[in-house]
Amino acid sequence: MQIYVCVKHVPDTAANIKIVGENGFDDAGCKFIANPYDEYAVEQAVQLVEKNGGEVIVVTVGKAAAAATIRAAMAMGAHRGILVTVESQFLDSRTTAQALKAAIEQDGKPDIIFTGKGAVDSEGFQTMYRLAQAMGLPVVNEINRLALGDGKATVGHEIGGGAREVLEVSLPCVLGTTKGLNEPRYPKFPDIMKAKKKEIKTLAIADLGVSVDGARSELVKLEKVPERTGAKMLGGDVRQAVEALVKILKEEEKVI
Amino acid sequence: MEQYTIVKSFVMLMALVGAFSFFFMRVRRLYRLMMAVEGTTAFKLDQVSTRIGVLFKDVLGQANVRRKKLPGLAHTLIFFGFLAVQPHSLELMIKGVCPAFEVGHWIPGLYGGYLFAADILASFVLVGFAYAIYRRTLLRPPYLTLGTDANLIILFTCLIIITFQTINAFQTLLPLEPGAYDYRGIFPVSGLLVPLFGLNSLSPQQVFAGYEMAYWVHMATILGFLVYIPGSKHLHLLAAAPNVFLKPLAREKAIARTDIENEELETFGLGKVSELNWKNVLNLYACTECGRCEEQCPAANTDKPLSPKKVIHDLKVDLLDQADAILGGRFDQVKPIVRDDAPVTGDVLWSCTTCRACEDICPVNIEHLDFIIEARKHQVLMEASFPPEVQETFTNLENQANPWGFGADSRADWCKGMDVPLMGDHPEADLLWFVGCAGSFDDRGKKISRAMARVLQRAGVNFAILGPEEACNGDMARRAGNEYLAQMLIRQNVEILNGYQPKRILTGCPHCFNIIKNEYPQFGAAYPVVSHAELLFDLHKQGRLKPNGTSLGALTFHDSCYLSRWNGIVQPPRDLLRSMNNGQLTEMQRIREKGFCCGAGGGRMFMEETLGRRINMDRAEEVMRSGAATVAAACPFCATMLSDGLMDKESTIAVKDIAEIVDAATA
Repeated sequence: MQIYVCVKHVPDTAANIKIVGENGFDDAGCKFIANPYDEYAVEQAVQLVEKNGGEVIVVTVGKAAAAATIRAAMAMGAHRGILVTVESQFLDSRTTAQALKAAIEQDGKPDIIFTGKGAVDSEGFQTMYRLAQAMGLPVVNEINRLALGDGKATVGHEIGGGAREVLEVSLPCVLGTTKGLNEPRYPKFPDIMKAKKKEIKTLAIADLGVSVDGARSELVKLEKVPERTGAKMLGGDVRQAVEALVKILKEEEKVI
Repeated sequence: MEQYTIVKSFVMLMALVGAFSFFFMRVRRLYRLMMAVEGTTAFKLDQVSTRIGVLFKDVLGQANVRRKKLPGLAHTLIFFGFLAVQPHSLELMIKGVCPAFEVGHWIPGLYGGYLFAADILASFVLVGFAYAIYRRTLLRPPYLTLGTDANLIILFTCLIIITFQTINAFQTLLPLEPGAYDYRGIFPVSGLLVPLFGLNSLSPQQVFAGYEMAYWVHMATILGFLVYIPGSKHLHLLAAAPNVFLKPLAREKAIARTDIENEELETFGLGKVSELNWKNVLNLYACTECGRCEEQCPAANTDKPLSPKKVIHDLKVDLLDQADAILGGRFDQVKPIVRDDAPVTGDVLWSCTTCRACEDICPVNIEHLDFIIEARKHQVLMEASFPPEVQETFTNLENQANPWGFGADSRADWCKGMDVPLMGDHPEADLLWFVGCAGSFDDRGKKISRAMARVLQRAGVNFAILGPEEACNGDMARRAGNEYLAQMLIRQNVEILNGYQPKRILTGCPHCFNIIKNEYPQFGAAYPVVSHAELLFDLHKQGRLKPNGTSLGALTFHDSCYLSRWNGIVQPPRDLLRSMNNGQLTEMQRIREKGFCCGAGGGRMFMEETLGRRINMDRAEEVMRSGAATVAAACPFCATMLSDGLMDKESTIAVKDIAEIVDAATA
């Protein structure tokens, strides 16, 4: 099987982002990781290939430093990597999908394309749909069950209220993975070392004939979310507490 | 008569040659096995004169064995008595082959003195064994292996001693050949057997028969014992002394640095017995299953599957079982230690808190942790096999350099508004305070750090912290077997430390203390390190921290393993606490080097405790039995474990770090 896994190189959600200028941030001072949802995708692809044979290729669109994330996926068992380099961390989903499509089609014929259900940095949750649309493939996002049949995949995804949809999709297809599908493995040390020697094909987005100028959405501004302040306990009996609360809402918060 | 002597000479000669050759062949095989294993050790034989001193004190003097009083005393009696009979037994062996051989003939005075002493010491063996039998049949301590092996050894040895004294008794009654050595009157204990059993009324033929019978039984048991030793736990007779001689002389120790950058290596850590090093093997040979380690072990004490004694025994059995493959150099055929049908399981390895109680108590200086930690390294690096909850901790350490995954750049947030300088702004500080993850991120730990910062400021100490430049010290990852991650963190810190070249490093956490002091030198950062327990006591002694006379009432102190057992720091925190609490300090039962672990060490802080009872509950109960109103700790992890344990017990006993106590007592 030829399985492509789209993995994004994202800032760790625990990292504090230092905003630079209007819409930039200091990425040198920030820890980047493989997008956690994409780890389910890598794990699933590796398990499928371990069972059925084939090749797992990681495709990443990102800055040059994103190679580290490809290495991390390779330590988990991916065989090769393709890095499409861009200048910005925040590319619109449409351009990302076009770049992924071009990179995959240039490389080979996919049996399955995995992505995570979304990236934890921009949280657009669109790339897998746009990629599937561009390639004319069926797509299911947020899958947490997967069984492979002859030319088709049976997938499950939660639809809320404790219910799970079970869908049949013809191959090739695009599947967005989420928690519950598997437990992403912790790489063995020799696999980390081997990953350092695996091949990463690096090409600029322009080399794929994709222009970043075609973006239909643009990141205009980055703002820090105001820190949540602590709760305040209002003392006294109910009457005093209510009076104090009303006073705060009126005078301090000015909401009533 | 003459015919009998000829037959006896011949039979004895055959028996001696047979038994000794068998013995030497088996011992040679064990020695070759010890040298055939693949593992390497950094051990170098140094300080030989000190080591000879150790032999006198711990082997000849039996000091280490007698740390456990009655069994130790019994062992001492057996040891000396058994040693004492050997020269005479050897003489009797030779005499059996050539009847004219008699040492007493050449050095009568000296030999007489020896026989006199040996005869008394031999009877002490029986006293020792009387206690051993009482202990094995009536006391039956749970940590002691009660088995045929031990019973056979007791039987053999008792028979050797009884026949030794019977031979002596009959010896005095044998007709005195002209010019032969006169044994009469030199056996103070055996001599008593003559009137006691009326031996002097026996005919010369009966005396001769009695002597010969005792002789043959003596020889059969002593040679049988010789043949039995190398295959039994009594191999300890041969291996204990060299193992003690080669013991680590310092209490402080470092986990071996695994050369993870060596691309030639195909495997890391201890995966199978063929990967042991010769010193490990000597450790295995030296164990006699006395069970003192198990008696101290916090895991064994709370019904977990780990017993340090069993680990050593099981590895020894595994090694001997696979000796043929190892001796034949067929290492690829050696089976892994952790396998389906083997006793050393993942649960065994992951139950260890690395408290080192086993190593500390071992009378023959076995280093149990060398096996457990190396095996963990193999499990993590080669098998990616570890308690699943640890994966998140590893990932957090990797991404944010702290086990909880808080943003690394918020490391100094705990001291906001406290005017605590950063090394970056204040590189000339006298003291670099390595705050550690618990002290920087954990709510409980942050309170302790703030108390410590106030105390340092009050005492006018010129200090600075690393802030976001600091990474986790690597202790958790290293003791949880993740040598790759540990070295990543260690190298990160080493680079920062070497950039500042600090005059001295202060730690508030014993895990930081131990690894920076004892293991960072492996990575090129060797600086003086002081624990907050020592520093606070020093500041107090210098008059820079004056107690205000407040009292916490009954106060007790919980020793942190990484201060007490790993580094021998037991007195300064006690002296400090007494000074801060109007001279009052109550002690628990298990204290100082024999203190009981809180359960958090060895990365266990970040693992679920699902097997057996909880270690911190056991310790909390002990705190409650002490009658203390406050328990002091000198480690943020101990404080958390004790708080949790006491809370579960619905106890109102307060848990305080020594820094918090000093802060309140000097405010």
